[in-house]
Amino acid sequence: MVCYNMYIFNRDGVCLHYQEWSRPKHVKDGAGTLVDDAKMMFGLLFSLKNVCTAIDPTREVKRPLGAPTPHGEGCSFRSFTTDCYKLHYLDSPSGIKIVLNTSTDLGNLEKHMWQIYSNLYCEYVVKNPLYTVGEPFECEQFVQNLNKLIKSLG
Amino acid sequence: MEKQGQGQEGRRGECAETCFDLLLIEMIHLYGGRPTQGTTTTTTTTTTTTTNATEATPKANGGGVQERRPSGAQERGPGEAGAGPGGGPGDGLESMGFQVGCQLGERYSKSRASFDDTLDIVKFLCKDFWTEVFRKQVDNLKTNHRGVFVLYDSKFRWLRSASAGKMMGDNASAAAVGAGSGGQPGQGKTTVGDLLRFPCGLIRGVLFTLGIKAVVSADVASSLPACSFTVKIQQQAK
Repeated sequence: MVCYNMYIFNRDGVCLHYQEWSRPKHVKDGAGTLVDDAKMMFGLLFSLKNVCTAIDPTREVKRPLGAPTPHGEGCSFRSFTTDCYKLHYLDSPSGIKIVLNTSTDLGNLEKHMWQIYSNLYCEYVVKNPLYTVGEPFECEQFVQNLNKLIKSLG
Repeated sequence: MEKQGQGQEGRRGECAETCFDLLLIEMIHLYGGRPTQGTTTTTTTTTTTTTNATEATPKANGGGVQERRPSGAQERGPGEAGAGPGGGPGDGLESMGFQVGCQLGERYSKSRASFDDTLDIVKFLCKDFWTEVFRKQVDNLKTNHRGVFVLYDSKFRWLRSASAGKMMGDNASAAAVGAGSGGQPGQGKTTVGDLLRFPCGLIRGVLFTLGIKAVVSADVASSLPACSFTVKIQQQAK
């Protein structure tokens, strides 16, 4: 049970935080730089969400691909598994997107993702008087408690 | 979300602590860089009333509205000369803290008999006042017996969510890592010094109500959320 890395994006695609615990394949062999990596990840999330909404067989909503979806409509995917890793995704109502890449043997981490959002992000980042909302952050308390939570997972 | 409430004569007033924390943050953004001048004194005075009301609500207004000090503007005069870097930015926050401190000092000491001496007053500040406002006592009190006291709080409540950190991809100089120094004018970021201005004024106000004129400065020595307040007593008036 390994956690590889984690991204936090805001609604506009700014990567607010990136943390990695284990990354055997170097980013240079993948996207190139960390900045490109983050952009690619956000692009993936954005497109995947739109495609999910478009091929949704349950709801009858005609929406052209690319149009912004109002609240309540549209599907949000939770995770996807490849043969190498599993990607867990949380899209909060305020547009904060949390992505966690883990090994394939971990189960459903939805509860933990919500914990990361409410107990860690909201407590230590949003309420941090020294932080300006919307900018990338590296808050000590957030990082410490996040590491604790990740250790308890694996 | 925690609630801090207080029973006073049977009536309870509660306020979610998260709201209070966020209000403090906004207050610092709004008033942190503004110096108090002659023309803006009125504006500051009016806004101080609002802040006082908000401060009073979580502490449970026992018997109705507190009356404001009639000579508020007068008190700010001598206080300002002694407080921090004279006339610099952020004086607004300090004098707001002073006003609130004056009123809270009277409120929390009304049931006590008179104080024995300066040390007794400072002990009251460290124990009873700190418990009422920050829900814990000051951890360490040092004095040189010549009018200088150092109050050390290892987990200052208003700093408990604060952590310093570099901005990703930015210069560290733009980051909000400041330790106790007065904020530079024109800087958009909040520093730790800004956060501690209001508590400094608070302490100064309490001591003033109880008859001690002092100068208070704050310092974040080692790690957030620990901080220390240095109180230098200038004169006493009984």
